[in-house]
Amino acid sequence: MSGTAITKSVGGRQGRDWPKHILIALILGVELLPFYMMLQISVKDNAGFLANPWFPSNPLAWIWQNYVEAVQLVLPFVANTVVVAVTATVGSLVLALMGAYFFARYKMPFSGFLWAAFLLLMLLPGVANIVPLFALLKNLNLLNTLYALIILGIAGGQVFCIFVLRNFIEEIPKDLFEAAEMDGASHLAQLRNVVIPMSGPILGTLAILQFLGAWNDFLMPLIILRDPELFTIGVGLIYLDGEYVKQWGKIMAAFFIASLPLIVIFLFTMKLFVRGLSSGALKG
Amino acid sequence: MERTLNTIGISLLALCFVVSLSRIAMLNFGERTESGDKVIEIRLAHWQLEGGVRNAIDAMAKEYMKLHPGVRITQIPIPERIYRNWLITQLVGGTAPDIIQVGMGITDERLARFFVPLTDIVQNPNPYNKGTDLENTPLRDTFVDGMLGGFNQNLLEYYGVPISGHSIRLYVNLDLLQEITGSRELPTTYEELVGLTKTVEDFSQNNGRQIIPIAGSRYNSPILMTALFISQTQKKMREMGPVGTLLEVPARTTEALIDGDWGLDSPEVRSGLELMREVSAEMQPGFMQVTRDDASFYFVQGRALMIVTGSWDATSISQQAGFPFAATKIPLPSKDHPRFGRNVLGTFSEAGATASVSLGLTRDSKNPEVATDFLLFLAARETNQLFTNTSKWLPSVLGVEPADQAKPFMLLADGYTPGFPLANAGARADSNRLISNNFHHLVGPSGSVEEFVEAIRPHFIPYLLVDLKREELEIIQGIQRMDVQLAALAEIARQNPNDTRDQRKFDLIGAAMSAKDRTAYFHQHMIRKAEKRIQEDSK
Amino acid sequence: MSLPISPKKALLEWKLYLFIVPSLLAVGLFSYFPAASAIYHSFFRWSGGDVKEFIGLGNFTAILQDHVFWNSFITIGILVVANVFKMIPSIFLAVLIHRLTSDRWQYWYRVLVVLPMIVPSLVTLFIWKFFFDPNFGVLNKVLDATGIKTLLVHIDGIFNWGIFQAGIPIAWLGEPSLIIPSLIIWGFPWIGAVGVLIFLAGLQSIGTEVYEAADLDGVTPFQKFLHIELPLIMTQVRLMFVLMIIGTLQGYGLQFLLLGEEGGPGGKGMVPGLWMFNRAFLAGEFGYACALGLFLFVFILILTMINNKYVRVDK
Repeated sequence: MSGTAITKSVGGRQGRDWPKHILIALILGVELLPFYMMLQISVKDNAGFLANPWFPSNPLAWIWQNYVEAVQLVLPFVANTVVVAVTATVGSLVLALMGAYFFARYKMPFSGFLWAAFLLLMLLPGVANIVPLFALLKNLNLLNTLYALIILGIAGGQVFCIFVLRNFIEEIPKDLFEAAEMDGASHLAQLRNVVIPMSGPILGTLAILQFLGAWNDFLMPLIILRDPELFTIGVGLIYLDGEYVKQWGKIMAAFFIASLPLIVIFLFTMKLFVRGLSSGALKG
Repeated sequence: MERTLNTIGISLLALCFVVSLSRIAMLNFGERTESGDKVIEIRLAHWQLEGGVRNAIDAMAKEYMKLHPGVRITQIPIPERIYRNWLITQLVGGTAPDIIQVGMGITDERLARFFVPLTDIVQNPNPYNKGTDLENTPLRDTFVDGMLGGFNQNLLEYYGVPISGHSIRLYVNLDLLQEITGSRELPTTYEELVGLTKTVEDFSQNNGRQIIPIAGSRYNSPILMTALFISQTQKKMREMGPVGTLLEVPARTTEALIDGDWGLDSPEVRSGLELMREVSAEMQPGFMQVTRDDASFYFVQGRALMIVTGSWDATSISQQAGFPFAATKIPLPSKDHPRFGRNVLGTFSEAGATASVSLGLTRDSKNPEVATDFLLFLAARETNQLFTNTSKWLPSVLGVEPADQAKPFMLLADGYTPGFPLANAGARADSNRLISNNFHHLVGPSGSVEEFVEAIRPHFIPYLLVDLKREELEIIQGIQRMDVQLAALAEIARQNPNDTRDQRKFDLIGAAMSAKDRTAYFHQHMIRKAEKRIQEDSK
Repeated sequence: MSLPISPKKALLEWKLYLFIVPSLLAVGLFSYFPAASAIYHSFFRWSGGDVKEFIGLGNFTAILQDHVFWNSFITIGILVVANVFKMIPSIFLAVLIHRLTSDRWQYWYRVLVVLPMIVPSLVTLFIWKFFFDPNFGVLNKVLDATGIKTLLVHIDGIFNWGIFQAGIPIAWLGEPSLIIPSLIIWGFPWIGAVGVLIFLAGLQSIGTEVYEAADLDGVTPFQKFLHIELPLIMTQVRLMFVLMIIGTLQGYGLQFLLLGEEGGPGGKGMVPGLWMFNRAFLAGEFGYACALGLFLFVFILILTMINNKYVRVDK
């Protein structure tokens, strides 16, 4: 990548880029302000924050106690969320891959009808379903369980993932499938040996989007979960925000810890993150 | 390179996943006692997130678990902001905890549908009071208020065990008071309060340090302003004739309002509003846009000299404040006050206050016997002593010595009956909305009492009519539901003539129904009068 | 495209149906069944328990007279229009990044754009709530420091709104007439990471030569945008547009957390989704909430159909 950058930047056009850099930096600076505020307030106490709300305080006076308390508060929530988000993401991708394979491989009888049925779901506002869904979970005895969140995550991801994956699988050259079929590979084997190796980036992108969706959800957990030991981040933070006299530093530290797993994943899979999303796979 | 990074990232995630999963799996195995029985779990939900209370509940639960090793008590504190929707979700979803604090968001209908009446147990002595002088006293009579705080007037049943009590106080930062006035003397009358706020303003100007006399917020300010308003209607209420109990006050004053015995132009109401407007000038500008936490924050940070709030905030405030503070009754105008003195009877008696933090038992409870036993334990004198000692909140049981920090908040029985407010909070949804939507006319820098009165005048009675009609509908629905129950009980009695177990229930429902019939009839009467009044007014 | 298959061969490939069964089950049980159940229950007075009372179209006639619900549509209408404008910064940023000559910078800016995504949306939401705080919030401090507050007070003096007053902190989420402006300001500078990256993907096909040619012709930057860049990303813009409308109409999490279940002071922030949530989980009127949801579904369906008919952009 760096090689092409050098060859492209000949011709002196780069000199005229600096106004753009300034503009971009300004926009991104404002965009990242919440992140900055969260970090610098998380090591202050209320008095320190009141005296100096804007700038980082002296590193020697940082109050690490905020983090000690925040870890105790938030870590169980983080653990629950990791389990829900990972299981829901993996489950929904496995199911969606199989479903997309069904639609993409052959025009089977009824597949047109099924496809239309799936597309209609894209229009169905999830919010309209929330009441009967609640009643259904109650009848299935799934209220106040993490299973409910996992199952809803899997079911909720189907339509979008199948939609994207079908387009993708259809573009895989047909000879590859035929060659595998000659070798006597079953459909499952074809899925494993042909589709999965070729769809790494798109699967990565979908996985990230599903994971983020599960991580950020708070409306369903709020009505499903009762016990604090089952809380996911979403509900946990809402409860934290309901305290009467707020310790802003502690709250911000808790926020930071809630973001930590995503930050770690992001640090390592940054390229996948960026490339997957800008690969143009997600188009109308 | 990218591949390695991805692998590391995904492995880290996988590691997190495994650790988290094993943690959750451990939760799911459930606990067992030493003898191998499954531990019975009792859950208690409440919205008292103020400092101290959660620790106190934990302490009481620990004592109970020592006595009963097979039981585990877990508390679920719910923020007030989401309490009402949390409650209905759990009740309807059938996942309600065994014990729930009742009050917020609970209608009579929900109480009857989802909660177990405790009327049976309140007649008997509390076994956990054994060895005390309350040993033979029925549970009901072991409370400071005769357990009125757990009683429902409409259903005529006890639905809650109250474990604490509340009072309203003016909090003063003593260090700041010393600095500003040179003494620690607290204001005892409204005149002294106003004098003090003037001293604070002078102090702020001379020292260039901005001190707010009274920290206001849309939560705290109405508490103070309402207290001042009802000081002006004290005499009027006494004039309006015999009032049986405090509980009949709303109905009586509403009727008097419709009859024209008092109204927006009564001198008492006008001077009450004047007083509200006058005191609002002593709070920081724009206070009606400030939340409860921010007002407390002003006070504990020493930016405000005083704040008015309930005893429930005392523990939070003392945990946060780096200074000594005093709590005193809200100072009312003395009888000699040139403008406000003539309507005042004197300082309010707090004898009518009921115990609070009332805990109810839900029908969803899997172990109602154990939960009931735990409620009895909470209601015992020794446990309540532990509660007040740990939380520094007021106790609810007779003979319990309040913690030292709770003493300034003890209910003071001597004094006079408070007057009536402009609209009854809570019950009168539309009337209250009318007042709060026009409140800025009363307190805003550009407003005036006249402006406020003129803004609400055209709607004052019509909105009351809407409220009355809604109440009427609720009462009639309640009667219909009781009717079904009575019919069912009568049918059971017809089939088993020898079984008299349901007789008491039948009597209770019958009594509740006739009480409701009476209220319904009275409401009908008031609605007709109000409609007539509106017609006359429009002419 | 998927290959056509003869019925005879399809019979042989019956195992393929097993592939769709799990998805179908999940979707059927957790999407279609609840939807059908919502339609069924919208004809009942149902408080969530086992007892329900058939009331025919009662819920729907009640909706017609439900002022809160209709007012919530006005609010959501304003928010949708605002959101259309809030798409502009993302497009602008994508174009800016794309016009950079250095691929290395382009890459790093993309990383920075994605960075806010790693903060859980709830955290962003609470931080914004904190920004709006009248006394400690960043927004009021910025307005004070830049003198915009003085300007607002001045304008207020002319029109006599009584909202902005000197020396009084602006209560963004406490003053009824400021609720909608607050919801619009929320998220400034309105960069959507997914949006920016998707637009960038659309712009990828424009080579440097095109720009160089345009430069030689003396084309202004805005003309470049209008004639070169915008046509190329119209597909993506349309996609984001549709997603945004559906998302806005359905969304109520923001309003719920910023303003509470009553939609804030004066109920000014009430949106249809929140009203449905309120009726179900606050008032316990589950049947009525189902009817509200059905109404909302039909509304979104009609909008999407109109959109497909008139706003179609050729790929």
